[in-house]
Amino acid sequence: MQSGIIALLVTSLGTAGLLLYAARIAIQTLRSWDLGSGSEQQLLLERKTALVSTIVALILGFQVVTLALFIYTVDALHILFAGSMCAAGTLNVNPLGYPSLAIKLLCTILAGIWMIINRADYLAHDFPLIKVKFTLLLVLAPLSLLEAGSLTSYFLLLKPDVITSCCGSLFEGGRTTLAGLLAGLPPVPSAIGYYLVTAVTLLNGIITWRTGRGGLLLAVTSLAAFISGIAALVAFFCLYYYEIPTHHCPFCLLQPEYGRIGYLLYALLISGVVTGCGGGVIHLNRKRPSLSVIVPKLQKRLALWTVLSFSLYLLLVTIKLLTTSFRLD
Amino acid sequence: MRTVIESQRNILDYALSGLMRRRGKTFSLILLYALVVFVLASIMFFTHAMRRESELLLSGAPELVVQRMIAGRHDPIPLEYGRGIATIRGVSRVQPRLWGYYYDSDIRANYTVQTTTDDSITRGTLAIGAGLARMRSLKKGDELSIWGYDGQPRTFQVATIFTVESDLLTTDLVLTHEADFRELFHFPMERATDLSVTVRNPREIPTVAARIAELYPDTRPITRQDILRTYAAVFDWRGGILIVMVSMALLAFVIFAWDRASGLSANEQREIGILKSIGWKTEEVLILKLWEGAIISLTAFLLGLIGGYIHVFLLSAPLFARVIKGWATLYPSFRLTPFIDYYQVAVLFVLSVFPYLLATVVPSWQAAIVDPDNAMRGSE
Amino acid sequence: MIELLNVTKIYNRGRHNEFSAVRGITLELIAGECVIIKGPSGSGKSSLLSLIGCMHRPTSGRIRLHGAEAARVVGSANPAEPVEVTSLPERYLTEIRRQLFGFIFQQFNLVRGITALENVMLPAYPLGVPRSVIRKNALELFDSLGIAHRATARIEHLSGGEQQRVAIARALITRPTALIADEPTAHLDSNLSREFLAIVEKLKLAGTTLIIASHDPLVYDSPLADKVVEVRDGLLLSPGSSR
Repeated sequence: MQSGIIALLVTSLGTAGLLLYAARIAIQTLRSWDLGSGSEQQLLLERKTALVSTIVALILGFQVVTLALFIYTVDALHILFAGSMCAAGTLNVNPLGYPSLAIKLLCTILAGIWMIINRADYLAHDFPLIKVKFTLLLVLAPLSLLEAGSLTSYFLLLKPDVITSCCGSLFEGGRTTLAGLLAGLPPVPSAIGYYLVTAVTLLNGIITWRTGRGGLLLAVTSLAAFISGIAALVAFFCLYYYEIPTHHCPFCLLQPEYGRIGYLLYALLISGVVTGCGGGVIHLNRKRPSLSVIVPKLQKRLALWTVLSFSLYLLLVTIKLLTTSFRLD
Repeated sequence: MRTVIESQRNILDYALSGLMRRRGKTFSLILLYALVVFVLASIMFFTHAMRRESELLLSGAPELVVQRMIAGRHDPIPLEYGRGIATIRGVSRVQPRLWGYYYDSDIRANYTVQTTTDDSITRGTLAIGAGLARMRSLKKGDELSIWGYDGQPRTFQVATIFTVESDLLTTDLVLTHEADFRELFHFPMERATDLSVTVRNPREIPTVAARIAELYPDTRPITRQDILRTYAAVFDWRGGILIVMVSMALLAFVIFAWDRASGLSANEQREIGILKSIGWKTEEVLILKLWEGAIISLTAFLLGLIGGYIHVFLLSAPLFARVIKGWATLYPSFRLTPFIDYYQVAVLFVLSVFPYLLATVVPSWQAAIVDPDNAMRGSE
Repeated sequence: MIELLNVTKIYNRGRHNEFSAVRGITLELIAGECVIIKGPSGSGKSSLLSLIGCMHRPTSGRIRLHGAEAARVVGSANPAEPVEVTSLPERYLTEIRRQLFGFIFQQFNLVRGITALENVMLPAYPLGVPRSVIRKNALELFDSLGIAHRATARIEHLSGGEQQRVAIARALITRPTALIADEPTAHLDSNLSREFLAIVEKLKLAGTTLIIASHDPLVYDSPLADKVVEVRDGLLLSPGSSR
């Protein structure tokens, strides 16, 4: 576990460092970008965009792997803490656990969206989105630094003697925390809500995929589908995985007893929200002449991915709902 | 899509041929890299396997053990304490345990001697672990002499030689009859080494432990969870120090890799210039360089991983067993149970491949941005 | 096919070693023609060639490409409209360059340590053509250039004439519409030079545009040339004396 922590820290520090380097390039570029100029400086800036794309692509890969590794590590660490039975308890050992996870998740999603913007920008011949993507990079870089800091302090402050709460008490309805709030949602209405939101999202996605319309709306609906997907998972679907009417933990799903199904479910939700929102961001720029052909094409592909991700998620939880012998009374 | 895959394949092919052309350089780099991964892998496998061994050891251990303390030292516990503990609510059984160590000067090793309630061990016989049997080349039915407290040897017949999942557990274990144990070591009657307490509901263990400490202030109740946690902390701590040291080595290696990747030879520079001049894009040369990096780091990773596995599980980690195993005595032919999970491999991958990629991305790009018309200008 | 309007190229601009290689050249190259750029070494011929061949962007002036290929690369909606190269990102220049042009360099610029065959295949690698197809095309080129028996030899074991044929084969592997050659006969004796011109003639008959920089009379006086332009100190002396 120690080695896992070291691996996570090394990677997050390296990632933050490289992103800061990329952010410096972004600032230079935003300041002195002039496409019309044939100067050597402009040429160098253009070449540096290739470097920045490579860096972010690499880091997106790192983020996906280390996000899973982080969750797995905290999940495995739970034995060190009296009172904890899964990742929920470990994350709760000190106040930095959940923020670290949230920042890491946000970084992953942003890096994914960044790659989509970058793709559209790369396909066009006049760098139409250079300002957009480098401004976003200036958000991503400090966030990644924050992640590294928060992760480091979280692990340094882990004291094995702390008695923490187990997921049973954290994800218990009627508490004022976010976790408690999620778990306290009435199961059946939240499931109905989820199905409604996802149905709208899928419909929206299919329309965007077939006609190219509604791309901006899809960003909103896919975000809603992402949130309601998590909420319904905590409030309702996980009960069917655990077959216990009161167990609302979103992390136990990651354990081998449940076939580590959680990794797949969360990956699908993330993939859905990244492609949905990424499509929305490039949709905003579809009017630029050099993007008028590229954006609709890319957007349709992304919408297809959104639809595939969310419908596979829907399929998985629904199959579980229908096939398990457990019934909620 | 197909053209993307084909072009990647072609570039990958060319990356491989390029690495083979610079054989000496490539192999020396891979060797150095693999060595770092090898040490890292060995440490991780070793600490992890040791931890698992100890977990196995403890899985058979009682949930709650009560020791008596006199002046802060462990002392035999009166059996009447056990009868008192048995009356605590929630306790289903209290069992006195007798165990200790015996130093065998012939082979200079410590045995763990323990009593058993197994009927197959009658007075005058004992059961020994497979490791011990190997060390003393004993077979079932052979005799083993053990020196008693009074300096006189007693002879026992080996009734059973046992092997269980973990070698570490049983290697030095000797099981005897209770009466033999008391006689051999002149252990006081009405006393036991410690008490093993079984609690009906595992959730009540902390409550029961607190109650025992209250009833008998001169005792120390230890739960299995406590031991497990201590062991985990000890192993992780030792392993952690080593990993920090190796990470330093890795850092040094990364700096070396950076240096190497940024200082291309004149030949490589010329080659990249040619590629640019015949129509390779900066991105494609960058991909070529990244493929090279990926090939090098994956090869080194796999070599190091396999090397680490062989070192730890087939050769019993001769290189640094002493460092980590600290507390252990002598285990002449002791083998760790091969045990690897995906998590360890993933961690090793992140720890060894990611830093290399991070370190080489900027130099690779620098190599890739040679002006395509360099080839032209050179001719004027 | 290519139009240059008042094009300049300045290297190391703003530094002490600033150097103007091309100073305001206007030139039009027509598809299918053979144009010889004549001039002593250091006159800016090579820089002009690399501007024509989209090796880099001009410091000022405009370069425009006519034709469907260039339009397709940029994804332009109207193929009849010329493509303005001047402000294109580098990767587009490269894309146009490898779709449209084949280059023969004075020093041949072959990669040492690999076979002649692989050298010829190199430009096609990133294009996404399967390796087996590239190989087949390359072998055909070796055949037609009469060096099939040298395909698997390493570059350093080839004679100067053979090396040049490998360089020609490499320039043709992507089936370019125009061939750009920089001092192609500089390292050849007159026999080999004539053989080179014979190859060029065949290419011209096949419809390839030829742009050759040379100060070899054998080349610029050859009947192949449709147009000879002379460059000196980065300026055009004779603005295209067509024959």
